[in-house]
Amino acid sequence: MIEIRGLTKRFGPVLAVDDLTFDVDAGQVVGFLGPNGAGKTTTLRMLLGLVTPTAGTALVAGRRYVDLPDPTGMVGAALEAASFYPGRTARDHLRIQALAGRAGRTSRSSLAGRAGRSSRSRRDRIDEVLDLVDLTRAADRRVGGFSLGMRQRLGLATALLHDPQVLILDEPANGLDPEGVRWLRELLRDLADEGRTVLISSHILAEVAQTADDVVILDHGRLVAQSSLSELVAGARPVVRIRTPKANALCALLTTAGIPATVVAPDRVEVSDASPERIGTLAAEHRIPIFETSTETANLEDVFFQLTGGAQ
Amino acid sequence: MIRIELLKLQTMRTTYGLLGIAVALTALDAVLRGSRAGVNKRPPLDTATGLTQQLTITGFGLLMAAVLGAIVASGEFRHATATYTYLAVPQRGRVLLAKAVTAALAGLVFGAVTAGVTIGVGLAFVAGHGYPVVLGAGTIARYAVGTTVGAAVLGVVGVGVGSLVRSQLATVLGVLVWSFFVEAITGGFFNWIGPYLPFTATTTLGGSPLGGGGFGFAGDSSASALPFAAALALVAGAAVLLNAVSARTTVRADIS
Repeated sequence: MIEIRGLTKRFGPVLAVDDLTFDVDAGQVVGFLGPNGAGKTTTLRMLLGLVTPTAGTALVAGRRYVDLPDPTGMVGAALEAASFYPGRTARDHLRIQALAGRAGRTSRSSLAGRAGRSSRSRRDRIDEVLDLVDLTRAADRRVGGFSLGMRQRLGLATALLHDPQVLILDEPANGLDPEGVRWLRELLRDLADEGRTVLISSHILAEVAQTADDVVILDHGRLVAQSSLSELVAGARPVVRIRTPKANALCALLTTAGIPATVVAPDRVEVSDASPERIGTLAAEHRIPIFETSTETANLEDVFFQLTGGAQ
Repeated sequence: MIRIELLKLQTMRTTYGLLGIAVALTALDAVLRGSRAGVNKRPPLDTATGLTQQLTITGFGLLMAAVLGAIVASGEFRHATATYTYLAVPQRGRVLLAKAVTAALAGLVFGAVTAGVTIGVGLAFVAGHGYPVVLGAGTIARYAVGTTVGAAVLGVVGVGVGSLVRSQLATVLGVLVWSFFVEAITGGFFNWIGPYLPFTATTTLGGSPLGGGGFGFAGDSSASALPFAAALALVAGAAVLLNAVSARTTVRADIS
């Protein structure tokens, strides 16, 4: 459903997205992850025809977004930087978007969404999506008075307005309180159950872990992983945690031996990609006492940090 | 598309604010000048010169039409609504064309209302003094039509400037500074160039004397205003040129 091939974007000297290639199959929910500044938003904007790629292609259903006969009927998007005219009510914003979606269609045969039909259908659909995102009571209030969470909900309502097959959501949980995050998770699960394709970006893996089938992880504009969550964890290196009074000396020794190690506390070292036996042997040879070792399977967050260099 | 842009205008308080400013300032200017007509060497309202000055106080309406056009375009970037606009209609040229037509329609309203206010106040003063109306109905109607058409074209000019500059503050300030200062200074120092300056040419469409800026001044230019068709062609040409240049940049620009 979504095909990204060799996608590259350079802003002057900054290479924001670097030769990115991945697919999202129809009906999949994919988490699009990476630390802040990894290039997620730029990639989504290129996919949506808002930013011109320096090289490569980004297609939805085999076409560029601008060539889709019914763009908003095919793709609903809620992007992080998109905003609303503050003096306009939520309902008026949706009225405009309902009309705009219809105007953006280049094919009469694709009048599928109810938001594009008669004015009564449009009104009904607007009421429906307002109810879906729990904004019915705020529908006639000016958006300028909305909290960040309410704006996120209005963004989602806009994305869902034309009942699209594909949803592209950029950091939709930003600004939501814990209850809102849970609501969003349930909403995404419902949308996935309806067979929609969802690409949801986040810099926090836990936000999408309970919803996503697959994850695509980006770092410094490059793809660092694409797999299912279970494959991601299975392929992760276990972490060995060591308690020693000579943490700095042990860390230096392991690093010299080519074993990645980090001092996480004055008496603690964390090591990945090495067995406790090898670490213990090296420490004994250099007379570094070890009081305690434990090996733990990496969790999703550990994997995310390993892949993205720990930056969040 | 035009319906959408009109709906956007209808749901913006700025639209009503700018129209209110245009009406209030035009009425104030017209009342002040009407009450001082015939005083301190000002021509009285029973002369063609005096009545023409009084009935062509349209500068504020023309300015506000240009400002509204600028906001129609630059507001999309000021409030980051361009993303939603171009997601719904990815063909950016269509959006820009709709904005230009919408600004022209809004300009028609601004121009007609402004002409109505200045002519209404002026004729009220004439009636109050018991003077005859020394200008024919055709001439007065031509002033009204000129102002209405001029405001529509200036609305389109505003869209071109707003799309090109994108910064709403810079665009609005630019429109005001250009109209109030740049043209006044340039036309003041070099009289011959005045008729060819776009805002000045627009004021002359509505019958304002050269150098008066559409604010009820007598004007002291030694040049002659361009004929109606030539002045209209000049301003319309500027509008088309600005919109063509801004369309080229907007169609290629990254929306972020």
